[in-house]
Amino acid sequence: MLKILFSPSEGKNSGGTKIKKELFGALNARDEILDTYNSIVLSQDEEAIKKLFGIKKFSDCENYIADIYESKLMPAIERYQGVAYDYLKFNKLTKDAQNYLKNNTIIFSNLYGPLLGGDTIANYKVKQGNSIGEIAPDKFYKERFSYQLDLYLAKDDILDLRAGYYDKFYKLSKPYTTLKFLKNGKTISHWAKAYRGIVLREVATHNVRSLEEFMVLEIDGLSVSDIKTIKNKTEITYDII
Amino acid sequence: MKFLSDEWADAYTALLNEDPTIQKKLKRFSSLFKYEVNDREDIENLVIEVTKGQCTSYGPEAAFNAKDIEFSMSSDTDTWQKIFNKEMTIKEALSSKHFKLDGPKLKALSNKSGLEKSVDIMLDMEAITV
Repeated sequence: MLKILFSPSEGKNSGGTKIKKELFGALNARDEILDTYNSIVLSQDEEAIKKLFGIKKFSDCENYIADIYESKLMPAIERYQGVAYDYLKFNKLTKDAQNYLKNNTIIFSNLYGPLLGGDTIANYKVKQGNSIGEIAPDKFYKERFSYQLDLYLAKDDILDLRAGYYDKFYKLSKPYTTLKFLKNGKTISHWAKAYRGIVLREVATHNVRSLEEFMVLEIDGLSVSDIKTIKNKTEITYDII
Repeated sequence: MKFLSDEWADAYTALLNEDPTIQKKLKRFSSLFKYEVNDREDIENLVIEVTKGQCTSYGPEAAFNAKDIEFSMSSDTDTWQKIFNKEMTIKEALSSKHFKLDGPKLKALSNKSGLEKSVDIMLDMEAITV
């Protein structure tokens, strides 16, 4: 099967109607970081909350002050909003494509760490790069989930569509493929994000099950210009046409 | 993370685009910055384009029009690595003559706090190797 690694997004949809279920990985592996997050959020310590959220005005923090264990839940793939997710257009996909994304996408959350697209999570706020109390999420999850991810992904092909920052959460030890999108030789920030979403949508729509199938997938607006392999990473460069 | 790699550029531009000080101080600032490791042929010069405080694109120098590149930071491997390891400050590097910073001074001075913040963000990135 093809598994796709994906980034979260700063913006999130609120609400949710889903029931709690076990998240990807070992039971209780996230307890320490989730408990720490919750204790800060519920502490009424304005400075600590502003720092955690990366928000200057406390009044802007209020929407996020909620007990994450009691909050409404939504699948991770639907929780996030932002350029890549806008272009993914999850709600417009068929049920089969939506299920594909819930089962085969691994999103690297700054609070929950690696999650399957279908894992149900609360609305939360953690500024990328911020610690949660004394815990650095990237190191926390790298230590606890690298081995679990290695095992989980052992028999799968891997398409890594994450932004570079999320390498800190998990560094792949087996062969994987990444994509680069260039317009006139440059990486355009907006389109790099947009095409990650578009590619994810296309692999779900076509039920792509392996890298071999991915290699023959035609994506509107993209033309392959280069493929290179260095160590365990194969990088496909697309020109945006 | 390798300095001037795609991963580095991706991570650095994302950090700049999320920083409230940069957004505020450079909201009227647009320019192109070139970064160079001047003793290494295996590392392509990288250009980052900033438009009204937002990094809108990056890529190898060849992808940009040379006359549009206003600012450049250039140094050798050893000096860059010392800077990233915090064994040397940019000021010390500048006075050592191993580090060259070029660009329109008036534009730099009038956007000093935002530009300094952008350098701080670059130097705060962890585990950068040149």
